Amino acid sequence: MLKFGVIGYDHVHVLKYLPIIAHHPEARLVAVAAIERNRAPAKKVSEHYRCRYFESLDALFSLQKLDAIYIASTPARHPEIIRKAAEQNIHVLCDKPLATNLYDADEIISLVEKSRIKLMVPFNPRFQLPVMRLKTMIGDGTVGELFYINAVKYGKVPSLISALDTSWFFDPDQAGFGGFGDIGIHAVDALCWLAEGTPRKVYARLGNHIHRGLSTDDIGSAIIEFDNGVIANLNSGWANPSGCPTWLDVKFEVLGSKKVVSINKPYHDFTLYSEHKMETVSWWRTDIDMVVEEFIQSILEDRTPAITGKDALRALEVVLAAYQSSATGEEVSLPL
Amino acid sequence: MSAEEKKLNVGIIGNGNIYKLAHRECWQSIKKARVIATCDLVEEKALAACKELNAETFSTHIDDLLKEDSVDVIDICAPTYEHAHLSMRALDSGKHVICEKPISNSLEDARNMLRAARANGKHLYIAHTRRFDERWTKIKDIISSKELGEPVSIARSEKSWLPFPADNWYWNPSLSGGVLLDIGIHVADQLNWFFDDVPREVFAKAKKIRNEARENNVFDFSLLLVTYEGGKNGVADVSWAYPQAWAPFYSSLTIIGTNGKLEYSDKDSNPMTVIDGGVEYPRYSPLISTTLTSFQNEINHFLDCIVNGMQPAITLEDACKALEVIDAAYRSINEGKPIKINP
Repeated sequence: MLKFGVIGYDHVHVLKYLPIIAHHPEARLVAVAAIERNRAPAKKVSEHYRCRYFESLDALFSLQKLDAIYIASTPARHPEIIRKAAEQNIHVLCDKPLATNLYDADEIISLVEKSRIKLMVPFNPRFQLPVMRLKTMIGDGTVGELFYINAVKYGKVPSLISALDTSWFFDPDQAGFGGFGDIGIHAVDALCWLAEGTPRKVYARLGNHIHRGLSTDDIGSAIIEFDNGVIANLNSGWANPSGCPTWLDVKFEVLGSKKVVSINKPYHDFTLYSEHKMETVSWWRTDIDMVVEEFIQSILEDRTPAITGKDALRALEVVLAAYQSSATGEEVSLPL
Repeated sequence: MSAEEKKLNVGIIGNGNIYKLAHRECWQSIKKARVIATCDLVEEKALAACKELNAETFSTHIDDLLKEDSVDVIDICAPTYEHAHLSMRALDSGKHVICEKPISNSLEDARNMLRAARANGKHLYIAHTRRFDERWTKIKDIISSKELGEPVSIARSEKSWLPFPADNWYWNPSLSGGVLLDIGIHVADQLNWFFDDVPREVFAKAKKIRNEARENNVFDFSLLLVTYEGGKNGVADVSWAYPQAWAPFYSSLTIIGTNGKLEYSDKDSNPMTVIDGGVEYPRYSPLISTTLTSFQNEINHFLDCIVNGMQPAITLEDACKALEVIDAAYRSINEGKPIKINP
């Protein structure tokens, strides 16, 4: 049984990952630490799962024996937390982005390599059923030669999440970047994975166009070219208005020599209509369970997890290249 | 005959693809004008068109039409590479001209066409039929109503399978401009129209996917990102290389506004599905990319403009701006960098 800690109650994904970790047959949730904000809901959830509650990293790491952690802190805090975890050989499931800059990301990767802990970043689209099927169809030649992938990743603005204080999402020092990268980095990872190539060039136009007065971007478009000639387009951002029936749009379309495959949404769903709203409700969603399962199995089987720190570094690099391209107005070559 | 009863007399040049798919049916139904002459390099086509439209004469040479004083309007349905010289000949002969899109495959020619129209005091209308298509005009109305706030990001797709053999002029890059010009001109104009702005910068990539494209060294896929004032942008992908079965899903559009989002796709919009061994979304137009009445709306509008001297819904400047986007896209592909456009 792996002793699991959840560190940081900042990233909204914690609301999805924490219960799945807590209920996993191979895991036991032993600690929750809210190190910056959202202390009340974190304390409440720790009481619900009858585990210890901390408000400081030092207290957590000195008082609680841990085998693995899920990090849902602000990305700016990732290096510090992973440094402490690596010292005690604690495995890390670290929410995205891996870091706010490449320097920190490189440091994290070298810490992981030296300590030989497992590090996985939960890019959940890789575990969404249609994306998994698409990957299989590309891998077994069903799609034929791959030419073009179009991806859409639009979500609602995090400030609409009432359960948690999400103000840090709008502070690039803490979050790394704004809406394009926040929502888009999952799709960037999926594009790299599906394209089966190395990203070489990025051109992007990003900006703060929707939500007035943010100090970050909230929407953008990027064109990514891979070394095998595949071209990808990503439209991403905090673009879904509050009245949108779905929180998150995840769309992929692949043009191959033998097939076109179009993914319109990530989960099977139905539509619920009530007096003042219309809502899509997914009824078959396995991706978060599968991410947690993969991370735990990689520890138990002592093998590399399906999504590595280097995958996360690559996705971060593409996203940062998009920001650089948008700032300079030029197409940016990778590696940065 | 009173002024009200006076009908405009029309001569049609080019009785091939777009004539048969769209213009033929329009002219058969239009009451404000009558076609009196048809013209095609292939005599049988000109003759067939003459019969279909109850015209008086047909010819294989444009001079026969242009010297005819009774012809008021020339409708040019000839291939892209013929647009400039045919339009200018017709304008110089004192005719009004309705010319199929794109205005030309050369920016210089397009500007000469504009000058010829002004010099002769005659109207030249470029038939950007998307401007008269109910789905797009309805969306334009919604944009204008500010219900979405201001549009800040637009994604537009127009993807098909070009049904012509490899030796058809569409596959010849110097004649058609490839998919980037032929279909790209539609999306470029639509982005300009929906943003109600002039483009500032274009970045593009392109591919040769089908054998017909590789044989002819012509792009059959392109992705272009057009930037407008303040960094608002439109992304469009256009292709002739999608499978034939994709045809009913030809167009899609997403508009992100400061106050809302609009999504359209042909597939989701189609009210009907036919299911047997496969799934079919019926077409309601011989051209899947336009509604049934868009060409009628367009030609009736141009005829009204000729009679009343109104500003057309798509101006020559608009048509030139769309071509500037495509020209910049080609330069971007060749030079591998974003290309600025002077507003």
